[in-house]
Amino acid sequence: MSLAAEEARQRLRFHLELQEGFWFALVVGSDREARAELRDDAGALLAVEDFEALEGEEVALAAALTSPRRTLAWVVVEDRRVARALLAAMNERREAYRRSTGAGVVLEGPTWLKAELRNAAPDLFSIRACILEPSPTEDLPLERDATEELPGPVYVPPPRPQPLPVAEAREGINRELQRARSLAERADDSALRARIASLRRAAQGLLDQGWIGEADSIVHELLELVEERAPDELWVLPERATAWEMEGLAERQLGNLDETREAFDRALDAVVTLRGGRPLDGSTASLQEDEARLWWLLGEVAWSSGDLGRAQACLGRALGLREALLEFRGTSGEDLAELREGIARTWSLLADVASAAGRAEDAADAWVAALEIRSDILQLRPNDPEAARALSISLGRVAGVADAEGDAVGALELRRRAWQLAQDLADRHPDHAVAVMEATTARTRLAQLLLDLGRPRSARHHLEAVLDVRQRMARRDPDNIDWIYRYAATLSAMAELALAEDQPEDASAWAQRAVRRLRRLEAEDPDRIIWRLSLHRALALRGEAYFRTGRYPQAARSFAEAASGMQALVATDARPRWLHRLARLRTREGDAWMASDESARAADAWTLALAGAERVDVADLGPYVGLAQLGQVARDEVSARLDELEDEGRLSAGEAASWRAALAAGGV
Amino acid sequence: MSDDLRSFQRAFFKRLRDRPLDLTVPADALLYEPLHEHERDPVVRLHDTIEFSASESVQIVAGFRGTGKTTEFSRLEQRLWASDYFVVRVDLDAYLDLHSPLHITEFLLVLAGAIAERMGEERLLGSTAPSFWERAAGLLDGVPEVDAVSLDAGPVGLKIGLKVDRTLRERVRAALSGQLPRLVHEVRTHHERLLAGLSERWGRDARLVVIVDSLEHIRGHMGRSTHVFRSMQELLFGHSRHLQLPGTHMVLSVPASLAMQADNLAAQFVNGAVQSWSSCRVAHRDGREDRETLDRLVRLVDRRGDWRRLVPDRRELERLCLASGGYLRDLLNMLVECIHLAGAGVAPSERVDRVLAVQSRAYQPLYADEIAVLRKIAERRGLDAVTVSEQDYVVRFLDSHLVLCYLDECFWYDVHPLVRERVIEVTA
Repeated sequence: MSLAAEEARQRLRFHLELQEGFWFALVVGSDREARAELRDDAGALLAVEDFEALEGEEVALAAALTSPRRTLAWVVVEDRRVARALLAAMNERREAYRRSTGAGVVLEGPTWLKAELRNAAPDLFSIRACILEPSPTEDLPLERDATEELPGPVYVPPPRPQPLPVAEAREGINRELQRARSLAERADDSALRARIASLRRAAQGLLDQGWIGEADSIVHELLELVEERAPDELWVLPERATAWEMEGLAERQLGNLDETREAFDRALDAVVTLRGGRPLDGSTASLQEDEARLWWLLGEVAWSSGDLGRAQACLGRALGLREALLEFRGTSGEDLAELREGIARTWSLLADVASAAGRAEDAADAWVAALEIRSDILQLRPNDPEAARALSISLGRVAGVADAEGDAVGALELRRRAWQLAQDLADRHPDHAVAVMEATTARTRLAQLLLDLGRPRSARHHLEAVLDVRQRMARRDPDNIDWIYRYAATLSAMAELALAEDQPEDASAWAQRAVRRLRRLEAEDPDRIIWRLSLHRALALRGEAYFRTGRYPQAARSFAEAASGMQALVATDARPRWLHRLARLRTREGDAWMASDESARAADAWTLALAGAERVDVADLGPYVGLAQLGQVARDEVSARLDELEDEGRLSAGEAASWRAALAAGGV
Repeated sequence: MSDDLRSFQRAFFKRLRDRPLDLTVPADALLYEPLHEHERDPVVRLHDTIEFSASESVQIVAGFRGTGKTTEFSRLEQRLWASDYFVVRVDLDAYLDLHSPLHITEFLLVLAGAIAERMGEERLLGSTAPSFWERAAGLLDGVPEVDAVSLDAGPVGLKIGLKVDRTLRERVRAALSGQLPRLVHEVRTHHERLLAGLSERWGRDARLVVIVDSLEHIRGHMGRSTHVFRSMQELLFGHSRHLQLPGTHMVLSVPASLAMQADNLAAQFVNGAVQSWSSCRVAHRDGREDRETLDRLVRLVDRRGDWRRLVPDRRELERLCLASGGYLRDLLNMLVECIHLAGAGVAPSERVDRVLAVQSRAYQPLYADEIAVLRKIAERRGLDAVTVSEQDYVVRFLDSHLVLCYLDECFWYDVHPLVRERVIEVTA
């Protein structure tokens, strides 16, 4: 037992012995086992009827802790969301707790629980009896909750012009609002126009600062003013268009898609009315820009609500209008990078729409179009990080297309360029976690492709660099699950690499490290499919490594665990790729059981593999041959299946010959 | 471990238990040590303001948690009774949902209802005290919005409903919307009846003081904190004239963060004043130790138990007092830890260092953005460099005592000594 654990144990015993009535303690630390030992110790010290360990849904936990109780409640929380809900509920009961004669409550969880307690439940924090830390931890400054700050692939661009400092912005907004209020009592037109302008500026300032609720209410006030004016008053129309667009932007932030669509429609109406059918010329160009932007926004709303047809139509309109504008302005000598980026963005969204609609070719064309435009933009603005980032994303997408089409060389070149751009951005902004993360993602994809192309040495060079960065980031912020996941994924990639280099011992060590971390993540959030898939992959890699080092029973169990996890996923969503992967895992499980002389288990696994493979029509003959070897399938039947696959062209002549030889030899 | 040490530990531990003292109980009175020097003693200031105001006053107490405010209210109550005042103490925790925005209508209903209930004490009106809940139910009777609400339990249902049923509160608000003058009139009329009852029963002027406790417990969680905070501001700044009860001195405890607006707040009320139970000032703003306060804190510990068996000398005890920043709850917790270490066989000379390490870890880890704001406060020992957008941080820091408030001639703030050095070190 470590010194920290021993100290924590002594302090816990001291409090268990001396505390009376309600008391509150916290047990925190990154070492779950050390925490569990402390918990067991408390359970052993107290009579069974005086101790209750609780885990589960927050509602049940909250109910358990906010009702009178006579036993010490020891509650384990590993999830921040659950912790916050529970702490808030307990904090509200703080006075009742203090007055109660009930028993104590101990909350147990990761290190971040301390900061959560202080922030979400200051009253409870204030009356804590003790905080126990059974494992040594370094209290490095935390970055804000990863789920709040790093929402997946959303990029927070570092070099954008900074919005006004909040206090200054607030001051400006208040000034505008004050002015609008002071003008409210005047009835003349000029006062009305000035009032509208002030409200518009205030609303824009609020939107810029992200104060959406307040922005929405000011926009409503603005809309009331502009809507009550006669539509033939031309000065009102631009104000009306702007107000409705702001309304749409606010509603979109608030997640109200119907209201968003309606607002953008109204804004578009106003712009079209204002233009009055006039052709594109110097006086209507900016209106055309507005029109294009609103069509794009409408396309994005349609895409968000799953209306692919409407999305396609709206984006098509936006694209047409923007391309016409580009042609019109092409000779003006202006820097048209923003207009071009608007077109590239439209192509990108069109690619996503086509991809979602199953039109892979259209999607690929659209991605290539976006890529070409973004390449041009970067030439125009070589120091613009946003342009570099946009191009890096496009390159990655087009590389995926090239890879799918079998153009490995092309894909490799694109992946390399995508990584270089992302890396360059990360080097310039080393403190920007998302930029660093994107660079490691681009580099991992490059390494993966190199590995697929049979170039493990090159892949190793990149993967080791990624591993280094991700390990550092995961250590710097041990509660940032996103970094932990990415680090674990790289450990799996290292295992795969070691297998490709025929170093199964190394591979099993890498895979084991990945499994350990991914198990922790799966426990944090069992619903996160990407984590579960990664865990199954790591288990399969570990199985493969065990198999190659002759540890067959361990290999079989690793495959079996991965397969049963996949089985659970397939039960909820029978995606062909997952079914395929499941069949492959069962096949390898059967192989490993067979190598362990567990023929009955092997037969079971192969039978399951066949059943799965048939569902997706996979030409894997391994289970067939294995079952034939066990006498559970007639050899003739396997031969007939081989012929059939060869005739259909799904097996090459060489592959078929190899299977026939295996069948004749009686082994897999 | 010897039996003697064990029983010493038990006895000392028991006397350090975190609870308000009731100074009317002799055993508790023995544990009490006045911590504020006379001219800065908030109880004296509250009492003086009441004495010097004609017939009514409103005093706001910025209640920092864990500074002994409830104990001090009990001392104030004692002094007031001794000076021939009638005293009603209302604990709003029992009546209000202090985790939702507070509206003037329910505050007035609850305040009047609670005062009337407390008047049922024998030393006040006894069983002759008229209930306000019935009057309130009558006030809402026939109002369609509230007719729809189930008030099966009659007035009792209204009292409980106001605390636990948000829907009922909303309907009451809707029903009384635009009726505030009428509600205020009803509350005041009822209150005058209570005062008349006191005069009649006791044959002397009814000099009444109402102490409204626990309003500082109000806070919102998650996304509601700003909303709740604003409702408090609206109540105190927007409805101050409605809060004043006729012929009565009122003492209201409010969230600590409102101390930041103390001057404005005092001006809202007739004979208004803002008092504060700040942390004990163990060091001056320039960093010098405050010997008088340290003496008081040592005496306080002395009353709780024989600290000489825990730490080797007075200087070591003073180190604990200084490290607590004058925040009593931390000081008591550190003494508990000392008791534990004494039993665990840790050498006396090592105990204080160990205790400080344990206690400072309670405040860790800090978020990087929190450290940035804390540094600003630490550098200036005040809020001068904090921006408007960082005010929420200050409110949270005050709640969790990462920042402590002190009072000389005016309020000043400092980062808790247990994290102060680290905040500066990390940012450096």
